[in-house]
Amino acid sequence: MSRIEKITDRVVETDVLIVGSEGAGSPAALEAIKRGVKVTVVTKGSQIGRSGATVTGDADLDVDSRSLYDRFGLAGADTRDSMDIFFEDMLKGGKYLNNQKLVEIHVQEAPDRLQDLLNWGVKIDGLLHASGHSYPRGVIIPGTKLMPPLRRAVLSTEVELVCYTMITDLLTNHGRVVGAIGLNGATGEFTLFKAKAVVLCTGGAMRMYPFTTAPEELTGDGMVMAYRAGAELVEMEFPMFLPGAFPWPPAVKGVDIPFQLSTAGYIAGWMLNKHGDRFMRHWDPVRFEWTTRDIASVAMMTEILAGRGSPHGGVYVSLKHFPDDVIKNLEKWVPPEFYMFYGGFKMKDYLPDLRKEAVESVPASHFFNGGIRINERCETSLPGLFASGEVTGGVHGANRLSGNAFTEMVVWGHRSGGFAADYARGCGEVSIDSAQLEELKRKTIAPLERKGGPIQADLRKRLQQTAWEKAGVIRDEGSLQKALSEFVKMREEELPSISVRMKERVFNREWVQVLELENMLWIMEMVCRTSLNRKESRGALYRRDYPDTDNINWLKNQIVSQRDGKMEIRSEPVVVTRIEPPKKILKYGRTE
Amino acid sequence: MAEKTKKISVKILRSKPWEEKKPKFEAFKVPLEGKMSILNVLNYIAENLDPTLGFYSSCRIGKCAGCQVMVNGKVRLACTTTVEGDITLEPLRKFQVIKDLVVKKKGKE
Repeated sequence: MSRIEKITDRVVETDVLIVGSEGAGSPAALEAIKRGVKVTVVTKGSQIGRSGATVTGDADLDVDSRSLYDRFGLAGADTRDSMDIFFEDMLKGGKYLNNQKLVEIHVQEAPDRLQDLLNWGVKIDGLLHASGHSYPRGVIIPGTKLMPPLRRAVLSTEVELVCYTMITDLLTNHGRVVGAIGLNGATGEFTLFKAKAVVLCTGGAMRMYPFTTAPEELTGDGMVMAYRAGAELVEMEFPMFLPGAFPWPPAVKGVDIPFQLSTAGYIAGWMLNKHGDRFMRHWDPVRFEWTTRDIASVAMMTEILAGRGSPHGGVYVSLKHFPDDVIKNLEKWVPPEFYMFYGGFKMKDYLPDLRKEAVESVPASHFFNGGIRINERCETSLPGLFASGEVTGGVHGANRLSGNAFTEMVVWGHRSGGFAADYARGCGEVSIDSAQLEELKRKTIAPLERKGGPIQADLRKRLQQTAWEKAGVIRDEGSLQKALSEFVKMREEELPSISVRMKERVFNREWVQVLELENMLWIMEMVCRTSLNRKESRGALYRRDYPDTDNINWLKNQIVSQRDGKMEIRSEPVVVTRIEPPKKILKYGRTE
Repeated sequence: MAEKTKKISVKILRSKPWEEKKPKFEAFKVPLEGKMSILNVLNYIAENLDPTLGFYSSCRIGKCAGCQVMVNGKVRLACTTTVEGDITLEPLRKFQVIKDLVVKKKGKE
């Protein structure tokens, strides 16, 4: 028995290892296998198509309206649109921090990837015109209808699937990525994945906030394993919030209040604080609640932090200014998925009688704009490591347009699979550094072997509360400094003594949660440090001590990486190919 | 004075297939505060009463179907089923149990 076999319970050898099985991982796998390499997909989920953010998406997929007319004959498509206008809208939405090389590819390849989806049997439900888009571009394909055909497509190939498995770390040797290790929850096996190329498709990092629309897996694992292995990350100061989720009751905490989101285009109630003040008058006296999502979130959070919110930590949303019959008739004209139902919930079970009472509402963490820095070929700064989808940064800049998350995952998922397969075909055998493997195993197993110490759930709650109050929708120098020292203290002083109370390895939730907690702490440290540097407000970052967008000093990307065990942040000018960003200081929320 | 919190009894069929012992029901008392789902109840037990409880969930909004369990003998999603009174939870029948309420789903995986 070799040393490596002694350290691990199981060894999986493959050419391309894809971590994450959903909207980015599936197209990546399908493209990679076409190129004649062995492909393995590993997921934390129970099955492909049944976990991650993709199935939770409501959701639309952006393609320029001109292509939708010319190539798909879609009703409602507007021929005045073009890829160039889509490109420009993405930069305005991203407040000009987007990598323009990536945006060019994004708008060019979106129609081809929509065609792939149709070829796999995905159906289009309609077309919508969301805010931030000059023309209707939102091809309606809910995640629950996107994933079953993708799942069938993947299952019809020779792609190997490993489920219930959390990848904990990447393996490197002589500066290149040679695989990964993970825990298989179903078997308890400590598994080594030996691979010529690894593609991270693990999604975002939203669970650091107590109110989130994201599924439970999204703890930033991919970003942090890449960081630990030495890869660069970008735009980590831009976690994005949606204005309008239930803070209460527990059953629907974090669930969208669909009719409230004015971007859904249906009805926007009045947002009130506990004094009954319609506080949007201070922020947008023209559009009020129909303002953009970032401004609505900041306005809500201002009331919440000032103690003027509702009993369960939100603000009030009221429809009472409408006559009773208008409210009663809502269900007749508002499509049921925007009023009566959300996911598997019947909204009536959770909403008060809206003719009499307001509903409580809170901004919720929804998307992570930043992530692993990639180039046009989805290569990271580490040879052998590729990434695509929400785990990456650069496509969306400081904020994402509605519908562009789905476009990102299929366009970039496809590309990452192709380039990773080409790389794997061109490189020789890889070898594992058994000392590194042993060290990573020791670190992963340590919480299982310890006794006593802090409880994971307590630390996670404290992390989430601190992130929410001090490093979330609204940030400033003081709050960020306090949050940063709290997160560093938790990671350096408390995490090393945390223990897992169940010692068996099969389906040990607390063990996985401890490993996730470390990732969440790293993510929040990056959020704090990059937010502290950026002395302005832009897109998804609002600093109340620097409320303007400073295009003179801050048209820059911040790049986070690890050097000699320390977190290093440097800034680089934005990658510009076609559109010069504005050069002056603007009020928050404006682009010109 | 706040109203006294209602407590319910939650019976869960526990099993560790690798030990080859017969599955056994275990009962927990859980306080109901606000409208809670079965998933909230499971999380409460894992956080406060027994960290070894095995269950699986992902989306929390009734879309991924990962949290399917038997609730009082019927197949339900833990995340969108609200709790009113005492409940009995078992893993899905006809599936191989990994631990407690977690099963190996059918499929190529």
